[in-house]
Amino acid sequence: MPTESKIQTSKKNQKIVMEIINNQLYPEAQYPRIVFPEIDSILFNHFMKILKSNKDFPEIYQKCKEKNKIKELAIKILNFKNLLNNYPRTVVLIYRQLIEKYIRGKHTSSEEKDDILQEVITRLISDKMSKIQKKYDFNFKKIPSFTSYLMVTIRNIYIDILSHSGF
Amino acid sequence: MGLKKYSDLSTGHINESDTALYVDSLLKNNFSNLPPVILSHVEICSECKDKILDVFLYLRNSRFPTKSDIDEPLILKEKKRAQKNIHDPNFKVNPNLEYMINSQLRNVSIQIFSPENNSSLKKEIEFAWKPTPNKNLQVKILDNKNNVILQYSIKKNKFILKEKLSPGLYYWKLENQSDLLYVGKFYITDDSTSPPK
Repeated sequence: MPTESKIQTSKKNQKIVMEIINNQLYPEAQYPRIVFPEIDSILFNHFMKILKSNKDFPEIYQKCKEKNKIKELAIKILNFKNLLNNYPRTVVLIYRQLIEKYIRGKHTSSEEKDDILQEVITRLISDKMSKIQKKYDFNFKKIPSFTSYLMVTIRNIYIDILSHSGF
Repeated sequence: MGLKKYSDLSTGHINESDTALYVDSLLKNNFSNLPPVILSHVEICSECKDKILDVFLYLRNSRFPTKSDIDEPLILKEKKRAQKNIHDPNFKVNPNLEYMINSQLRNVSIQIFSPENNSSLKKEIEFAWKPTPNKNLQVKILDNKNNVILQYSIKKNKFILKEKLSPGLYYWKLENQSDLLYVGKFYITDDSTSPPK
C-alpha cells in the first residue's frame, strides 16, 4: 500500500502535470476544449502509460518533490513534436472528435458516415501519419498550424475515398 | 526530407501546407504570411478556393460556434460575388492586376482613404488619399482586361469620378511622374447585380 505522503506527492505531481498540459503545452487558445473536450484526459493517460513503461520514471514521479523535475518530465513526454514523431496514434486520438464531426457533417446516411470515418482513421494511421511525420517540419519558418494541416489532409483523404469507393 | 518551400503551381494547385497556411490566415484575419503567388493563384482557382473555404468554415464554426461578430473575410465576399456574376465576364478578376495588388500589401507608399478595396459602388466614386509632397498625380481607371479607360491629372489629394461606369470589376492606379504608387479595385453594381447583404 502506498504511504500517505506518496499519495499526496502523486496528487500534487498530477496537478503539476495538468498545469503543464493546460497552460504551457496545449493551452486553450490553440486547443480550445470545446473542440478537444478529451485532450486533458488523453494526454494524462498517455503520460502515465509512458511513465509505467520506463523503469526510472515512476520513481521520479512518486517520490519527487521538486516541481521543476516533474515539469521537465511532463514536457519531455507530452510535447507535441515528441507525440507526433513517436506516438502518432495519440495524436489521432486527440483529433478524433474533430475528424468525426467533419465526416458526420458531410453525410446524412449514418451507415455511410461510420464506414467512411473508419476508412479515414485507418488510412490516417496506416499511411498518412508517417507521411505527415516526414513532411511537417517544425523548423520551417512559415509552418501552418497542425490542426489546419491535418484537416486539409483529412479532407483530401475523404475526397479520395468518395471518388474511389462509390459512396 | 523537409517541406517544399512553396507550392509547385505547375501541378495546377497549391499543396497541403500552403492550403493550411491560407486557412490559418483566414482564421487570424492576417494575410501577411502568405506569398503573393499563392494569394494570386487562389483568387483565380475555384478548386483551391473551395478547398480552403471548406476547411476554414469548418474550423471557424467548430472553434467559435457562437461568435457572429467576425467580419466576413474578403475571400467569402469574393466567392459570393463571383457566384452571383459567374457568367459575366465583366466581373472576372485580372490575374496580373490582382498580383500587383497583393504584392503591394507590405509596401504601400501612400495611405488611401477611399475607395475601399473590393467595395461595391453605384454612383459617384471618391478617390482620396493622405496628402503627399507629390503635386502632379495621375489617376487611371482600368477595366478588368487591363485597358485604361479613363485618366485624370490630379493636383489635390482627392478626386471625384462623375463618369458613369457600367457594372463590372474595375481597377485603379495612382501614379506620379515616375512611379506607380498604388493599385486598387472596386466593383460597379446596379440593382440587378448588387452582392447579397
